[in-house]
Amino acid sequence: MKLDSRKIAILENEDPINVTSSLNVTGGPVVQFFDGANYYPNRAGTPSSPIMMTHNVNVISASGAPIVVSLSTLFYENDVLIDSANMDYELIGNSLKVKKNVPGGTAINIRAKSQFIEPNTGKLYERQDVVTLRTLVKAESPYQMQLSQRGVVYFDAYRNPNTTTAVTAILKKDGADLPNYSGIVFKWLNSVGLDAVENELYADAYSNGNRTLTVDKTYIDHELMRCEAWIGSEMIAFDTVTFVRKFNSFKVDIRIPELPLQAGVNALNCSIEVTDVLGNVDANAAFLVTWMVTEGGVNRQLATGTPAAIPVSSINLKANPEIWVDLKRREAFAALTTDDPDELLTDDDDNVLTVETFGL
Amino acid sequence: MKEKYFKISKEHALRAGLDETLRTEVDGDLVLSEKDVRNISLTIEEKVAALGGVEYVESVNEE
Repeated sequence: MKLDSRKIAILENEDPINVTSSLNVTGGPVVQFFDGANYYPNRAGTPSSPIMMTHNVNVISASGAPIVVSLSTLFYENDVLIDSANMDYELIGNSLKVKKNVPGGTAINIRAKSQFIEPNTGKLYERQDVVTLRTLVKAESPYQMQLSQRGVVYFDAYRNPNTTTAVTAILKKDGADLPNYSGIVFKWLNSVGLDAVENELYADAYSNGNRTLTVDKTYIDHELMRCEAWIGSEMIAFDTVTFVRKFNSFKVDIRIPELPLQAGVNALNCSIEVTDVLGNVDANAAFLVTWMVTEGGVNRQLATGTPAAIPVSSINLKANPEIWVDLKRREAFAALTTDDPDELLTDDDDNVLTVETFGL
Repeated sequence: MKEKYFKISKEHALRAGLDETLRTEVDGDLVLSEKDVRNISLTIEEKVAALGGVEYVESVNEE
């Protein structure tokens, strides 16, 4: 039984060509940002940063040789033909200059349709390419805080360390200082998040609309303070600064020129010279200097400060005495408390009593 | 914050792929945005000149 027959058709031998195309964008990105007022980059008006979209079509013969063709290009915005009357665009041959901003949060498709006639066959070819232009709504720029002294700030423990310093908070937005601070509340907190002035000896006072904290380094060995800026119930920015009393390593030169002791000498002129990497240190200002003597294995204080004149008569020369100096570095002053460390001692005016502390 | 624009020579603007078909021409220069200017590459000599630097040549002691 013979079923349906089908005729075998032979295609004509065409000269095949290879066509590639792309819609290239120059002069700027395809994505814009809109902050509610301005576009980045801005493509409209003068001056501006428009973009150029060029439809590139490459035609290559089967043998690999490029074929020069004449393009006829049309552009469409969301399938609506862009003509020369459209002021948002400028048609330049197979290029389209985009001089409009795409509304924030939206996107448009630009489609390029190019036609050409292949010169060898006279056949009409068409290529289409699409690029999407979109605009993202840029979230409001965050605030940034910069304290006038920030990060870790070391201060020299040996040279006039117990001074006051002002720390001021500066708020920035988009890299520029905020023109006014109305409606913004500044809070200064200690390392455990409590109000600095109410809870810390080092926090003297707020000023400048609470933007400035006066810090007394007398009470600081190592203290972190944090400044926060609030609008209503929202914290918009913060920054921290940590002041650290820095004790450089030092060298001590002990001078007692009367030793070894000769007959007839009545006093020992004891002095020390302290130096660190920066040079001489005022030993009495930076240290509690105590001259000690060990007599028969027993230590006894002779004098304090440098220089010190110690009468020879005050030393038991028969007890195999040795003179030495005891140095204690002056550290931050601290609050006096009762046996309960949280209970501060105050004077009649409710001022907290403080005492200098020593280390080493 | 509005965009800032700068008048830049065509020669330099071309390094960012920008010419008078893409940007406004004023007094023979092109008006470029900050982002455009950022896309202009500079030679090391141009960077050093902008920074006020000079080439350091180690002196050679000839005996």
